[in-house]
Amino acid sequence: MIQSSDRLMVVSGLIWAAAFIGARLLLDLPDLGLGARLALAFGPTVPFLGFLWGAIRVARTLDEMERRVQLEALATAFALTLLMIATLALAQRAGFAKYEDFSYGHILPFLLVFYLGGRGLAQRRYGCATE
Amino acid sequence: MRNRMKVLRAEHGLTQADLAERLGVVRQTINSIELGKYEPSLGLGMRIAAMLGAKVEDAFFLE
Repeated sequence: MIQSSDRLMVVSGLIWAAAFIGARLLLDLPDLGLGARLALAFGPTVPFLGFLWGAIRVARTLDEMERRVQLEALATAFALTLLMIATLALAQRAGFAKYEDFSYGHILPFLLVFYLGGRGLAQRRYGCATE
Repeated sequence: MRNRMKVLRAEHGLTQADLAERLGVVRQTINSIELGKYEPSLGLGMRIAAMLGAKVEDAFFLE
């Protein structure tokens, strides 16, 4: 059964993703005023607050093993993202990567992949991968 | 750490889902504990033992 906290997290997450993608596309338009650029750059943070609140509420409903799985998934995602950013910084300084080719916007999908990979490993470790 | 949860649960005629619902955890957690892949906290271990009518040391033991 889907709980209200799950619904809040999913719905606000989807709204945030749509707002982010929309803002990303609109910011490519020429001749945008300062107000519009500010609104597009910072507007998506509003639905993200709903996602954050929903995620915290969901975390509070998890049992101890589910919390362990999430902790290991987040630890994996955090460490790998940190490694990626640090390595890219060195690669840029060494002249192997350009900021234009790889910037903040590219980290988002990698963060998601690292989280899902970490969660998959943790679920396998605790024998609930195929449950 | 090993456990006798599966045997005790069967003696009480409980499914994993039944036990999970009574303990307020998901069924996967019960499955992982029975398989020995997840070691429960002391509190959850005591609640499991009490629910299955056993002492903690009879339900869980070191190899």
